[in-house]
Amino acid sequence: MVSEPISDIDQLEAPGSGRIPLATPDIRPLLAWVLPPLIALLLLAVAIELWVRIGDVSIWVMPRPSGVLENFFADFGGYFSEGLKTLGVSLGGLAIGTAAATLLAAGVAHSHVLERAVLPIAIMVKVTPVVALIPLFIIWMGHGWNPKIAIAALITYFPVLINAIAGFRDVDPRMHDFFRSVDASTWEIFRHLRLPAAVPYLFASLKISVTLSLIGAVVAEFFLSGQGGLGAVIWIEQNNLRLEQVFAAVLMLTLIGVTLSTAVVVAERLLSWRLDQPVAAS
Amino acid sequence: MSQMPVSVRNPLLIVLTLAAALAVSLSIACSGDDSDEVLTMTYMAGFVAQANLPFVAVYVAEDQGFFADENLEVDIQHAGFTGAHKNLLLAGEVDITTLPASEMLQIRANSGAPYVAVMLFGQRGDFGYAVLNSSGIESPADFAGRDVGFKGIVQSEFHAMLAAHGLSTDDMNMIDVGFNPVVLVEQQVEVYPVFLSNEPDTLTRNLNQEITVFEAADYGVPTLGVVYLVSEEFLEDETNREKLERFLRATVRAFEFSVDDPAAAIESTARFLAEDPAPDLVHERFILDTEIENALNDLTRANGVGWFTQQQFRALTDVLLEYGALETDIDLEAALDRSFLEDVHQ
Repeated sequence: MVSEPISDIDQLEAPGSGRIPLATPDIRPLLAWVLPPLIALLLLAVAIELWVRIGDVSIWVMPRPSGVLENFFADFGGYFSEGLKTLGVSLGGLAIGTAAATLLAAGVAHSHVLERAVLPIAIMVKVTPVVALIPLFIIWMGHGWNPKIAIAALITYFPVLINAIAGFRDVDPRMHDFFRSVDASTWEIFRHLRLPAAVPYLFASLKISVTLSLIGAVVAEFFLSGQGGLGAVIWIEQNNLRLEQVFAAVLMLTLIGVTLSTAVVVAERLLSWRLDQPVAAS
Repeated sequence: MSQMPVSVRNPLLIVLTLAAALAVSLSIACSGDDSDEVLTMTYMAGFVAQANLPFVAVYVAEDQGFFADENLEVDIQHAGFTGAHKNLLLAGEVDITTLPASEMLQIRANSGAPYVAVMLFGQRGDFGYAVLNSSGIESPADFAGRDVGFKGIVQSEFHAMLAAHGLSTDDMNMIDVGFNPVVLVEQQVEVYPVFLSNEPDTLTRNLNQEITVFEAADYGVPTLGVVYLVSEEFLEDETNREKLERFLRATVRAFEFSVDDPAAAIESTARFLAEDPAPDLVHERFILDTEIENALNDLTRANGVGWFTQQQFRALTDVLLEYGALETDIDLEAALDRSFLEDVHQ
C-alpha cells in the first residue's frame, strides 16, 4: 500500500499517542459525578451520627454531623466566603505548579542529562516537609498571598512533573522515527507527538494535584491565619474547641475539592473529545 | 491456788474475743487510711517537653519522688503541637492539663467547655512585644505608624496596652507574621510578639540582637499566665478529688523545689526532654528562670505558690470581653476552684 505524500506536517496524527478513545462528545451530566460522592458522604455522616449517639461519644471529641450541617447552613455565606480565599490560593498554586512542572518535564523529556541534574533537586524539594518551609517562605516572599500560593504550588508540582515526563516520553518509537524521517523539527515532534501523548498523563496527575493544592493552601493558612481562608477558620475554631465549626469548614473544603476534581474530569473529557475529532475538522 | 486462764474457764468466750479482734483488725486493714492507697492519674502538658514551669513541676515531682510520697502514679504525656489536650481533658482521657488563663476563659465562654482552673503559675501573661533597640521605639506609644506583627490573632492585652497609650491597631500596620522571630531581625516588622520565656532568648543569644520587650502588664493591663485545669465532670468524683489534692501537693512541693534549686530542677527536666536533637539546657534554664520570675509576686509570697484570686480572673475577663475575645461573660465561681490549693497550703 502506498501512502499519500504528506504535505503539511500539521496534518499528522499520532496513532497510539495516548488519546482517550472516545468517539463521541460523551460529557456525562455533572450530577453523575457529584451525586455519588455526596451520597457516600451522607452515608458516612449517618454512620458517624449513629456512632456518636449510640456510643455516647463526647462532643469534645467528635461533633454530631447533624450539628455540623446545621452550623454549615446557618453560616453558609461565611464558609463560602472563606472558601473562595482558599480556592484562590489553591488555584494560583495549582496553575503555577502545573505550568512549572510541565515546562520542566518538557525539557527533561528531551534530555537525560537535564533529568539527572534536575530530578534529585525535585525529589529533595518534594521530601522537605512544607511546614518547615512556610516560615522561610514568609521571610522570602512577605506576609501576603505569595507564600501561601508558593506552598500550594510546591505541593502540586511533583505529581505533574513525574507524570508529564512519562507522558512526553510515551511515544511510539516508529512514529518518532517517522517524524524524523520527514525532517520534523523538535518543536513539531513535541507539538504533534509528545504533547498529545502526555495529555492523559497530565490529567491523571491533575486529579491528584488539584486536591493537593487545597491541602497546601489550608496548611499555609494555618500559619498565616490573619488573612482568613478555611485553614484559618479550622485553626481558630479548633483553638476555641468549636468542633462543629471546624467540621463545617472541612465540609466546605470537601465541596470545593469535589467541584475541582469534577472540573478536571470534565475538562479531560472535553479535551479528549476535541483531540479525537478528525484532523480535517480541526 | 492461782486463777485458771480465762480460756480454760470459758473457751467459747475466748473464741468470740479472738474472732472479734480479728474482725476489727481486718476492718481496719481493709478500710485503712485513704492516703495509703496508690492512685493513678494522667497529666498532659499542653506542648512539647520543655522547661515551662507547669511542666517542670510535674517532671520534678516525678523525678524527685514527690508523687511517690503521695502514693500517686502519674502518667505524663505531651500534647506536642496538636492542641489535643484541650479535647482529651473534656473527653475524660486526661485528668489534668495546662492552658494559658486567657485561652481557658475564652474556650469556656465561647464554646461552653466545662474547664475548671485549680492552680495558677504565671501571675502575669506569657506574651511580650519585642523591638530591636536600633528601631528607636522606646514605648508602645511609638508603635504608631510602624509595621507591627501578630501571630494569627491580635491579643486582647495588646489592644489594651495600645489603649493605655491612646492608640489602637488602626494607628499601625498590622501584619500576620506566623511564628518566626527572624522577621524582626530582617526588619519585615518593627514589633514582633514573643513568648516571654522563649523567644527573647532566641533573639538575643541565637540571633545576636539587642532587643527591648514591652509587656502589657507593665502598663496596668491585667494579664495571667498558665493554669492547671481539670473538668467539672472530673471534680464530681470523690476519688478524683483525692487524686487532685495529692497531685497539687506534690507539684506545689516541686514548684518550691524549682524556685530553691533551679539547676536541680533542670536536671530533673532533662530526663523528660527529647534526646535528639540534644536539648539546649541553657535555653531551658532561661525558660524556667523567666517563668519562675513571673510566677512569684506579693500574692504568692503571702499565700503560697500557685495562688490566685477571683479578682485577678475578673480583671482579665473584663479585658477579654472589652476586646471581643469572649462572646459572653463567664461564671468565675464555676470556672475556678481554689479549695484544693487552700488545703495544700494549710
